[in-house]
Amino acid sequence: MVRRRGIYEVEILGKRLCCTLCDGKMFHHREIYLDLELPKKIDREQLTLQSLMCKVCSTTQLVQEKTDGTKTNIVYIEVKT
Amino acid sequence: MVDELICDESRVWILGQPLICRFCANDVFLPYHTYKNVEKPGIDVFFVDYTAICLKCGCATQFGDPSGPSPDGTDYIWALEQVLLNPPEPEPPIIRTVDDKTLRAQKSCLSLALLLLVQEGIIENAVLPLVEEEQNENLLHLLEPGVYVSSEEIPAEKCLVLALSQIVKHRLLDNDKLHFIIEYESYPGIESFLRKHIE
Repeated sequence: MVRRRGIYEVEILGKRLCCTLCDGKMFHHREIYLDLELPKKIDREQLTLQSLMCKVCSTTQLVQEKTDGTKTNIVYIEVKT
Repeated sequence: MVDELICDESRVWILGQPLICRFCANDVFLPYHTYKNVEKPGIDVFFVDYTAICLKCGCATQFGDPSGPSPDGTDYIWALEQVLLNPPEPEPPIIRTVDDKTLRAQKSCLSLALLLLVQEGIIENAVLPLVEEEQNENLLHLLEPGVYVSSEEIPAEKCLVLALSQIVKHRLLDNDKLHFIIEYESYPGIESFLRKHIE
């Protein structure tokens, strides 16, 4: 599990992520798990996604982390506040 | 149009509009069924929707299935369309090989069964040479007019089954005994049983 606190600017494949609603560029991050089977099942399969919530308006975007060797599609740049 | 999306690399359309990744404009996705706990109409109620992952950048697009009756209620509109990037290979046809001895037995039983049907006046005399000429397709049509025939070859066994079912239908022989012989003795039994009833 990845735990990140703080506020981040995010780049996906080298392109800056913007909020789809307010065009904000700073996000809170959480790793989330979506159920791929009925949640009552104990050993259910889950889809792991990175949830990026706009710091200003809280609109959330979900991205799957993909790793190719040492490179990942998501780059987090911590913003000092 | 599809009933539900398959979780495989694909392009997806919703009500005719292509699904495009809003971040990178790519159009190839991996659509997952995902479950969400919803508030209404009660506790532990789950809502299934789709989470499609863009195969280029990984961004998720979430959507449901807006399929439903048309506004005038006379039709049903399927909203989702999916084209797989790597469609599955069609399954190879099943080829059943019949050894010579079995085939001979099948044909001999078929001839006898047809002879019996001709004798009882259920079918025309003309069918008899068809067995030797292996015109199974014509035979099949004579035995059961209007039957659907796919492009595959018709085995003698199928004709035999139809001929025997005609015998059963017209109650030409003791049906219980015939069933017993088919189940436990197969070809040699059928052959001698049929021969006994031919004048």
